Amino acid sequence: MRAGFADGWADPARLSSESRRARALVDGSREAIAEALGARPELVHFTPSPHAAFERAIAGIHAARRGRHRILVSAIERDALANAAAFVAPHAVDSVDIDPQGHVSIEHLTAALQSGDVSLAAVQHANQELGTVQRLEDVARATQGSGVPLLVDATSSIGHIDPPAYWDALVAHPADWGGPAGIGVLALEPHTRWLPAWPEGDDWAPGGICVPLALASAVALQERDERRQREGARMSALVDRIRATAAGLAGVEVLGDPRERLPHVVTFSCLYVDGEVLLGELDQRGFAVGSGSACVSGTLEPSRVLAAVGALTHGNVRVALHPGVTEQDVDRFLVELPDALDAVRSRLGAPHIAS
Amino acid sequence: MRSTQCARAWAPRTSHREYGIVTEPPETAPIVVDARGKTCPMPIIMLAKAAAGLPDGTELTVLATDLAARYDVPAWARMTHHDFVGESKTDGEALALTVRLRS
Repeated sequence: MRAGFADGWADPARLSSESRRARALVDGSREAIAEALGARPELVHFTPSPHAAFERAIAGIHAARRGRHRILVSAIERDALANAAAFVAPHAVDSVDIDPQGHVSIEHLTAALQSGDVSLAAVQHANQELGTVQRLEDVARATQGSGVPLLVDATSSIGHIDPPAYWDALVAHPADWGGPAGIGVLALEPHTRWLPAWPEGDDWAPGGICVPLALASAVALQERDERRQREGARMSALVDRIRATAAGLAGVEVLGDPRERLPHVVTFSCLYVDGEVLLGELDQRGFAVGSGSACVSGTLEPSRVLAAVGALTHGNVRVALHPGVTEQDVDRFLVELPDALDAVRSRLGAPHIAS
Repeated sequence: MRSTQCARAWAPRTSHREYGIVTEPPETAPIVVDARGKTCPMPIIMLAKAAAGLPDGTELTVLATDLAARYDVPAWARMTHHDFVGESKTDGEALALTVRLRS
């Protein structure tokens, strides 16, 4: 980041030697990220945010698919992506079903592609709540069979698992791999056609991008990928342990695919528990965890992801392990968790659960 | 505050009346659990309390205004090995969700 500010302060679009240096930094960052993603450097674009990348990818590809009106979006895509699709194709976005483990229904996807009126399909690489990693080879076989471009949201997976091998357009989020916020990445395959649905032509980041952020994103991804090789298996084993113990507790259901999943994330739902109260209880015991419950996120609608897999939409605990977490930390969490659950349930006057 | 009230309200014997659970003639209509105005997780806690000790095959209908109940009542049925029968219309804005008990 400091190198980015020292050498990258100039406008990379100008001709001075400082500008050339700044441009070289951006190009180098693009190449490094392209290599990590398995993409072509000239087809990797920095955008102001992942949201902007979703918007531009969807608008640009949709515009190039003249005469086709509908966009397919899996039922568990991020709101940012689903909203961008609904903006580009009002009242013409179709949701693709997922199974209880969070995998896209290939049967439903294939059927939905039959109409011939589909401009693009969007399926995420991994889900940030369930941890489930999609079977993109099967998804891509279906989309390729219909000649429909596939947009893959890899904002929750890059930096945690190997990049996806099947996509026509891909969006990644540097902040998710330990890089800076305020920048997004969009990669396209050479065959992916698009038209500018905006005034700036082939400029994917109108007004320019921040050179230090691009450089920091590339450096962070290299560091993360090195650490992932060392730490990934350890994290995954810790998540296995949490999954096994939580699944044995009365009235607790562990979500997502137990094997095809992100190494560091697990969510489980607990009967007769207010998610916010349980989080507070765990926080008092020294554990900072998240929740997918509607009552916590402050909206009236329950989490679309949890609803789509048929899970309880309240009483959810999402554990995301960071690399500093030790086996002892996890063991202590698993000792405290049943007590925390009992405490919340007895306060709510919950019934006894037969185990 | 809310949890304290709940704990008191769920004392034995008085609970059904206090939560407005109306027992209809058993051979015709299901038991109604009125959870209108309650937010998660109270509707399914009320459902579970009402279901405790009832025989197999008993049907209970939860009335709820919390939209999460649409997902939570079927999830409760699945997790506690009962059957979710379905959602039916009500006169007002409430959801009506019916389950059938199974041991």
